[in-house]
Amino acid sequence: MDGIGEPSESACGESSSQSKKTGSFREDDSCRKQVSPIRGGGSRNTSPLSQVRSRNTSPLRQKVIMTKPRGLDEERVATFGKAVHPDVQMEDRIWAMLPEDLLNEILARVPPFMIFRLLSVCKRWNSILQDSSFLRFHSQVSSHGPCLLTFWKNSQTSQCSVFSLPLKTWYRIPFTFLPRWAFWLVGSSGGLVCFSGLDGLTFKTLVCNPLTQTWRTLPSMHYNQQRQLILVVDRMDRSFKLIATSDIYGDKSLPTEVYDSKLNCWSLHQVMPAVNLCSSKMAYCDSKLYLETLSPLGLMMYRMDLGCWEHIPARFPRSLLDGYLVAGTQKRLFLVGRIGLYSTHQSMRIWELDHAKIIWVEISRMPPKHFRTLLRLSAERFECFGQDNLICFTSWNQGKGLLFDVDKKVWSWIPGCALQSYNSQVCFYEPRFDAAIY
Amino acid sequence: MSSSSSPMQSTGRKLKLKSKDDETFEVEEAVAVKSQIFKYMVEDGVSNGPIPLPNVNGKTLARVLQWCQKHADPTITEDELNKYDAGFIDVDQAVLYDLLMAANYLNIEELLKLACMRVADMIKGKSPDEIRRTFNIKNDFTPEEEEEVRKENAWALGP
Repeated sequence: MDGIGEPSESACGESSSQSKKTGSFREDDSCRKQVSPIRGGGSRNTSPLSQVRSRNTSPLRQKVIMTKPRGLDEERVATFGKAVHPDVQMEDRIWAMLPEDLLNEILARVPPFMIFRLLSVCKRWNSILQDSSFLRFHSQVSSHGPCLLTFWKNSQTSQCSVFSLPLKTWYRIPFTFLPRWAFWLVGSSGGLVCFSGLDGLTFKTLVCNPLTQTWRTLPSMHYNQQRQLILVVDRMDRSFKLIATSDIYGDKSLPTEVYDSKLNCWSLHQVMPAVNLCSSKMAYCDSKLYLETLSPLGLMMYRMDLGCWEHIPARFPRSLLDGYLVAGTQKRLFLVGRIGLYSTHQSMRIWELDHAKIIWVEISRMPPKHFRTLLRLSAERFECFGQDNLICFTSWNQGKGLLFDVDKKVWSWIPGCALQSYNSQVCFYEPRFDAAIY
Repeated sequence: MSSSSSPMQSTGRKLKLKSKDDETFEVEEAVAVKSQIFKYMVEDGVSNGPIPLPNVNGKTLARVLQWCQKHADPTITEDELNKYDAGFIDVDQAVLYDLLMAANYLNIEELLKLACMRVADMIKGKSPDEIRRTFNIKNDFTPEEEEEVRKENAWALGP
């Protein structure tokens, strides 16, 4: 399994042959992808992926030089983290002498999902997830790579699965602890996951750490109404906040409420002076919360430090069909959506907010063939969310995941991930043992 | 045998180190302070005469100093450094073990992280039995207890 995800040494060097070799990728169910890297003069292997077979192409298709329009970026299968080393036989005459304190540091670097297998080694290892030294090292280790958490629920059952992009594996985390009223996935941040729901007539929220199976219901808000929420974790501070903005039914008189885990209570703040565009989620970056509003049109920005709202009159791009707000790293804020009224001429674009000029600047477009693969029908629904300058698109019916890396400007399909977004909620998730619910 | 002289700007001051098998090394202060141990020594001004390192042999010390030199080089890019690290840590297990212990003893954080990461990579696919054999760990579970722990965590064993 090693080497999966690495772009192959493609056929560009074999200029004389007609057959084009494609990379040795594992063919994944519903993803059709093209994976040869672009070299030199931009010649591009456009044959569909095949399993290490040479493919005869017509003479006309040899070495097609394509000029790349803006937005048609290099495409690859998503790769994360370090290459997987082939299995190594570990020699006990060497490692048997390893001091225990170093073991903690080493175990802290094993990918979180792979630690569970090690718990049955001995009693001491079984308690490692509670070991403060291990947790300390673990908290300093950076993320192994993004994961997608999907939550699906109907009146009888609920299912929560996590797809680890670096490991290309699904994990069905036991979520039996989740109370029946937990219905909506609010989101995830810093290893914590937040759910909300109606318990009878009471609107409730809870936070949990799926890896440690710990959870708790948060105290009720001042105003018992179903609200738009966002979870924000401060790992340095070891605290988190939950921000409740507008009521989903458009009640304009609700004050914004903020839950602070350090105080374990909700505080009241300014009423948002705008009508919310509830279909889109909120985005949080640089201690500011952004959401789209109808009237006044544009963005409303909530400043955590001042506890008040400010209108950002950034005009939406013309003919924008949907507007997904995605927070990036530091101060970056992205807007994602389709442009175009006619189904044959739609294109998915990404803009970034220029904070100084208060305008949206287009930074990328989804390559048309990806767009067609992702959304067979133009009216099809899709999810769009992101974090850390990664923007993910999942289509409800096609079960595919497409990732855009803003920094590298790379579009890539998520391999091995047959997502069923239909009726399920998805978000990015970072598995962390040290994420504390208190 | 002393370490190669640094091609970069010399700040002048050098530290003398002596490995446990009596090999001596001369190294620029700027390179040596990658190790917190030496950093404190330099700050406290206690670095006359060769510093004895009874826990590190000459071969390992030479490698460690090479790594420190590379990482103290201001002209090197992050990409080059990552490539260098990947090659550096791709060594046989005995060497890796020595590097790990040396990095720990000398308190060289980045090198320790690198070595730990490599060992973690080696561990992660192993079965509990293999782990026990490798690290000489006694299985203190009863068969029932072990089965219970295994069942509890079965969801994480993947497909």
